[in-house]
Amino acid sequence: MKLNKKQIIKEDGRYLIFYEFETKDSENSDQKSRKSETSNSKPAERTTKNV
Amino acid sequence: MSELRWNPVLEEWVITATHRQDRTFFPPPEYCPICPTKPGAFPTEVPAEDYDLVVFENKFPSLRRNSPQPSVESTELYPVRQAEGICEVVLYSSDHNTELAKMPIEKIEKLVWVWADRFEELGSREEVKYVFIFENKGKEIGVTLPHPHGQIYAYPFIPPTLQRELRGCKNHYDVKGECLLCRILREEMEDGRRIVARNNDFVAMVPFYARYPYEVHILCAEHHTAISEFSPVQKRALAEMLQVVIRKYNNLWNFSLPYIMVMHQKPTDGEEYPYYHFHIEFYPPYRTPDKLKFLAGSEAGAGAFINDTLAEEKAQILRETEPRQFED
Ligand SMILES: [Zn+2]
Ligand SMILES: [Zn+2]
Ligand SMILES: [Zn+2]
Repeated sequence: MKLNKKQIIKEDGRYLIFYEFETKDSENSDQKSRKSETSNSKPAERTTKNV
Repeated sequence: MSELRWNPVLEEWVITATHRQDRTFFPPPEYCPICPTKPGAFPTEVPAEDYDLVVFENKFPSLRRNSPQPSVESTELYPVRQAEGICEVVLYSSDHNTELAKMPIEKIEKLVWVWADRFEELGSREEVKYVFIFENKGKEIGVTLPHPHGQIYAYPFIPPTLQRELRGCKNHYDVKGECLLCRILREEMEDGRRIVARNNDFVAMVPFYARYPYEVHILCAEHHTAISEFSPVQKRALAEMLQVVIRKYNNLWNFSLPYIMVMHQKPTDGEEYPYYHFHIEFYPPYRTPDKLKFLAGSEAGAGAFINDTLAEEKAQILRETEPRQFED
């Protein structure tokens, strides 16, 4: 994952940063991240076990 | 107005922040100040129709860049300092009605990357001695905006609780030659009774010395002192562990469990802290589904916590609670 920042300065001088991300397989990352917003996250349940 | 006032009795700074009286309290959802700005609607803090993750300087900061001169003069008895520092708000999502437990793992992973970036950027500032990343969740904790968000305080001093932890860890390191939390982790893994969940890189447990019934600490399995040291694989694993703990919390009694979540890592004052070990602490305020734990006489006035439950029993309950997000 690669992180990109876009910073703006508000009228009162405070900063605000938009974070955007590039995942490794950038070809279909857009499609992938949209999909993952709606699917529930199986990976965590698969890799994290109760002891 | 904000300033630092020295308490010579407890030897600690108190931050006064009188302007925070004007903060927004539970605005109706259509006036949420941290939702995206919709076309034709009132402008919020975020001038965009949508966003992924956003960080901005708090409008009502306790600590600020170019902080004003104190309202009173310093004396020998009562030193006063400018409340220099930074208070940031971290917006987890543009969706007003979500929370970490409902988010896909990729989103929490991004949040971990943002935290690491903020730790590095704020920690590199000359005046910042400690970067404190935390989340207050739920109105029981005093949260004034339900929109999912966390906060970061960049302090111009090392806060008292961290100083105490650093001292304890250093004493152990000096005497035993090893990291105290590495030792605790090893013994807890061997024992197993207080472990809540684990993956390759992180372990969640109810500490032996828990102050709150459902207190959980997440420790990195490998010795690291700060979030910025984690590899991409470890960042992902931390996101997974956070998701598991928060979902277990919500599944305990089938409601979104309020909590205070704090990240404890090394200071950023330029010193080395090889004896300190990254961890995250959760303090949920509930004792039972309908009873809150209040900090009363002993806790507030004597600093002696009374936990009317056993860590081993609560860990077992949390261990057996599924980390599935319930439907609401
Ligand atoms: Zn909102
Ligand atoms: Zn360690
Ligand atoms: Zn700690």
